[in-house]
Amino acid sequence: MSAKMGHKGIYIHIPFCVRKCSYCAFLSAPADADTRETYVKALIREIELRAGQNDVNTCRDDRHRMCGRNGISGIYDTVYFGGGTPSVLSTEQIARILAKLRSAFNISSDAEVTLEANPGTLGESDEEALETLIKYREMGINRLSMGVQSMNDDRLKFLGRIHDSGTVKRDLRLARKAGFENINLDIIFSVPGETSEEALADIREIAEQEPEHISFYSLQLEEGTPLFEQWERREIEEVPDDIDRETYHRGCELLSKLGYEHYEISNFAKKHLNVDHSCSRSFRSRHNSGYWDMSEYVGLGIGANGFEQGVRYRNLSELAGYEEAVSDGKLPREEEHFNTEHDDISEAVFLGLRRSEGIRYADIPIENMRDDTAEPGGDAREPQNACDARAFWEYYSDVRDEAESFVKSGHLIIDDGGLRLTEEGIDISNRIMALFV
Amino acid sequence: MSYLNNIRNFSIIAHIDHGKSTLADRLIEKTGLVEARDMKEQYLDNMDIERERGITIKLQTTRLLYHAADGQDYILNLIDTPGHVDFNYEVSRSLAACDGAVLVVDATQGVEAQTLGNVYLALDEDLEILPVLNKMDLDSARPEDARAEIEDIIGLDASEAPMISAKTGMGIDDMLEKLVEVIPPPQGDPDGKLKALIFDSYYDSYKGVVIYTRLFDGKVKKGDIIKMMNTGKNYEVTEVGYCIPGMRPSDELKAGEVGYICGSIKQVADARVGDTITLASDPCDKALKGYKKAQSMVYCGIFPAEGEKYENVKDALEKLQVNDAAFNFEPENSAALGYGFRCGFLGLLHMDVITERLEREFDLDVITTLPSVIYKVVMKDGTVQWIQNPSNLPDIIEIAHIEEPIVKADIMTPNEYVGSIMTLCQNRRGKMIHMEYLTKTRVQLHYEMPLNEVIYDFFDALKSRTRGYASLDYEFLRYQPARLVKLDILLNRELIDALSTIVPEEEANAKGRGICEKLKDIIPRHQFEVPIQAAIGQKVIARETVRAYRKDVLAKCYGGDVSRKKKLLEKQKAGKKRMRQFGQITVPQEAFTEVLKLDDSK
Repeated sequence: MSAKMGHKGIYIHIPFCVRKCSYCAFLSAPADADTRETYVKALIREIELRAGQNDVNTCRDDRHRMCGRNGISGIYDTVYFGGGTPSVLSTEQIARILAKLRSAFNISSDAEVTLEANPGTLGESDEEALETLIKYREMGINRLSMGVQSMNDDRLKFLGRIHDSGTVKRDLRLARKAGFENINLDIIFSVPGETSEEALADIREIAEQEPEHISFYSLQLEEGTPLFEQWERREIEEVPDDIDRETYHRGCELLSKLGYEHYEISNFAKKHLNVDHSCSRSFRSRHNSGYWDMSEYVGLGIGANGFEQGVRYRNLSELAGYEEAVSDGKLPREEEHFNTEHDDISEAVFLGLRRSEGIRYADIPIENMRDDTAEPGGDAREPQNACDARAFWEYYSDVRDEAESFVKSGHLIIDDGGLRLTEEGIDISNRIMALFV
Repeated sequence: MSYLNNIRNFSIIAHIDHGKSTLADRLIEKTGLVEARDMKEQYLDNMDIERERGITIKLQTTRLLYHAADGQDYILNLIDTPGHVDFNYEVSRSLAACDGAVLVVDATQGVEAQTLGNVYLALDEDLEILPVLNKMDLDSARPEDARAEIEDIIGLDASEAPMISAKTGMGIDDMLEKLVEVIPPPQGDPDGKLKALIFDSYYDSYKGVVIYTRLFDGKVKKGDIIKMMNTGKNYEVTEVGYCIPGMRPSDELKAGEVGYICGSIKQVADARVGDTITLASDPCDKALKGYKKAQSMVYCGIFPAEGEKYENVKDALEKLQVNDAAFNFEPENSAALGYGFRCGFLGLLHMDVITERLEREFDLDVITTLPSVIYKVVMKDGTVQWIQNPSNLPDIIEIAHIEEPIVKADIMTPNEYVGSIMTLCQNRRGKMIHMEYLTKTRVQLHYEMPLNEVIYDFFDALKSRTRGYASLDYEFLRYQPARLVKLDILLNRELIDALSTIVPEEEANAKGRGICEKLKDIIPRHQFEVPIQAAIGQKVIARETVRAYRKDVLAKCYGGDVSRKKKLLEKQKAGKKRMRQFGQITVPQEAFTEVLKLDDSK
């Protein structure tokens, strides 16, 4: 079994926004109220379809493990509304979706429930925005992720955001007032024309708002976006790699000084320490961490991805097709892939290497790894971790030398328990990860 | 000689793409020897690569039965010819086996340089030529223009040229009638001394070499001891027969006929195209004229790629050689690429075909180095060395002078492209001999050019500058002294011998810069800076630097991205497999073949 038992998540995709940003390549677009409502209904229908599988075993194909009775059994401890901008839905619509989720899935009482909410979408007036935030709290949302991106108004305009730095400060103040204690703010760096200094200033200003979590990304020019087209027309220039990396490393350093733990390539979280300096609470994103440790997740809504019972799937990405499928009572799948053993192993390695703690040999699902070594009554038994390490490097014997060369060059650390990237290793992480796929 | 009157031996000659193979298919279909259900597209091109590229490399021959309007049955021996300038010699030998030729001209394109080249070869053999206008089913067909071109350029009467469409079958009956009428029957004495021409051969793993032959005089049957007049070797005939297509054994072959002979011959080099077969016990007076030993014009190194076994490559090359007298190889050792082979080819296409077959048919991963011509190096002590591997060039101090092969290149083009072709040829050190207007709009340019300039990407450059309208024909002319130097490439300060080239002295700086720039794009970034240098002897003449890699990271990776990002990583990994490691430097295999393809237009 590939996925870890114990932690399971639910992702709901909301493909709507107020205005498409100049760098955005996500499945999202502005839409009118009727379109949004039709979509919410379809989403609820999809949840019902999934719930129905709990009662009736309709599929007899053995390979379709996920269609079976145990399809959505188990306890779910994260829910994540992503987009798009989920906060363009009304609070009533979000509440309906959440209620339906709770009736269909066994969601734990202490689940992390995140909503991506962009500054400027919560309400016109302070009162309105506060009311929205209070309703979020009441329906059980306990984590907000806000696409701040920058505190520089010119840069926000360049990125096509609808908000300015004033909106960020206001929304954050109101969120605290409404009782949110777990807030993530996104920062984008390497925006064309931006220097390292300017990016670091952004970090400082954003950190002043004291979010519990910061995502710090370098801007990617994605094909099909207005920024990409501008770049193709040579109207803008990409920030050179060396400046991008300088910003990244200085940003990491600054964030750690400011008390944020660097736990994934682009993610930083506050720790609440007890008096004796033991950690009382970490604000790492529980939901996103699930992606990196091969946990299972349900994907709902158009274009949503899921990973359940060894199957990676993606939902249909066209509104009409999606709505038609669910109204016909069919799961709106565009693609399903049954992971092989090698898929599970390579994904566990490359996703795991994204985390600052890297991978533990023991967590890599290499079969026959732990069964044939303990000869009863034989010589001294090989310690478990040595045995895991041996199995791992037997599996990856063809790339061991190259991996060692990355150790020599200071990009990778290999120890008895597993391997992890150094901060320099992150810069060339693709090449290191590519060894293991 | 009654039986001879009912035989016609002919070839189809045409420019690439003018529909030769399709016409051959149609003839086979019409004359009913292959069931429609067995018809493959283009029956005679039986190698995958040939079908894919739409060219015929290896000859095929077939015997057709035709019931003509005069009530008689005729045996039509269709001898197919390869359609590329690299294989001119093979074409000429096939034509020598014929009494006539069908000249296929694409009615939408008119006469091309290669058409002309082949027509001259046919006229050299005194063949009767039947011009045919093909592709008449297309709206763009302009038969009057094509007819006028045939008459003006080639000087053949085309007023009665059959108008056909090999694709739809239109006009094929007409053409067959005309063929029987125009092309003369063979002559020869079946009771004379055996004299037969080898016009093709191939290796069959059960029968040994199968010789395709045309008998001019005499007879041959199983049990005869035959003698190859040029190689002097004797063999006992184990089987003779006709190609229908496929092999049909017969009791004997006699004068005027076309068929095959087997004699437990181990490799095609022992039954070379152009050689004359006679009986060992009763030989004819002299061999047929025109025999030439296959001459390699272009050489390159073929090395096993990372993880490929030397022995596997050697086995494959041996198998290919058994079937290809024009291909030769010998072991070579490169400091950069290790143990491999130096291989000789007729031309660049021949080289491409062989390397592609190594990869496809033998599933081998090989690195091919830059093609090179053979240089004649005259030493100060008066001795001569033939150098086909630039890294073997002797020390400059010992060399009196170097000579390079020059070819005669004929380019035919619509007149509007003359200017850009002239620029191209000038950049390639071409010397214009003369230029003639064949018609009002078609021009033929005659150049003398170093072969070295033709083999890299001249044909591609020509095609791209003329939207594919120009055509090229070339043949070896002579060796000529030239001021040449060896240009070395150093990566990370180490000489990569497989990247050395021989270039004209006055172009060395520009070439060195060009190669460095190109390598800078091809060589991936490393964790450290990689200097690329071009040098003549100890003197560095150009330098570029591949910047150190700073960023190769996916900033975000959440649930939706796992599959997509994994595909990216898999692609990255697959890309690396085609890399070669030199010390600390990783070099993609394409570096060895792409690096000299410097587009002049840039």
